[in-house]
Amino acid sequence: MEEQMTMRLEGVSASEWDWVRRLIADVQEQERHEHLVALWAQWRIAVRFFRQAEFILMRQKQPGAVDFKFHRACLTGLISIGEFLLLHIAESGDREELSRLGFSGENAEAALATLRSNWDEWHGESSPDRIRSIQQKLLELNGEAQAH
Amino acid sequence: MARHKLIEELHAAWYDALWATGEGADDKRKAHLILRDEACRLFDCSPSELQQALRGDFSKWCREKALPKPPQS
Repeated sequence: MEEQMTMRLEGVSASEWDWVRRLIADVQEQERHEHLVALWAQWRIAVRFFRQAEFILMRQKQPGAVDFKFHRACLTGLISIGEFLLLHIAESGDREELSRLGFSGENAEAALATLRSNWDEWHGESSPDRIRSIQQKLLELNGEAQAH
Repeated sequence: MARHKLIEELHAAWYDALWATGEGADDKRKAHLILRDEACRLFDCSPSELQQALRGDFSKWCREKALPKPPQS
């Protein structure tokens, strides 16, 4: 029974992912590494513009409900595009050629991990009680700092 | 209230991870992930929970330090 269900889920999963793969193929018809790395560079520029908007609208000011929505939408999009690009770059192989063009898979993963942390920071869904208990531990540490 | 050194370090590392550019920026992002994981072990929480818990104090820290607007390039 469990085996049947797993097979069915795998079947669904494969067909669900197929349209994503086609989308990637449509967006990036060229298989040239230069093109992929150029797209990656553009993505990084988009991330920087996003960070500047975030700094001004979310950190220097008190963000409103609309700011939260735009922030989540932009961040979700950047993470999604970054994931697509990394998948496609990984599929294209030839790490030496990519490295020659200045692309590092490890650095790219770190950039994506930072974006995911950024998402958690603003839109994470942990319970308020749990967050308060961690903040209490942080305050206790601060208390220690003051005592010394 | 003075901040504990670890929290100061976490804020500084997060700032660098978000806004560092040019040579060394990727290393700063990786350094933040390592420090954050250490803090998670100390506070027995997930990275996601820690990020949420620190958010308010991080924004306050940025304002207190009068940190400049991040560069676009």
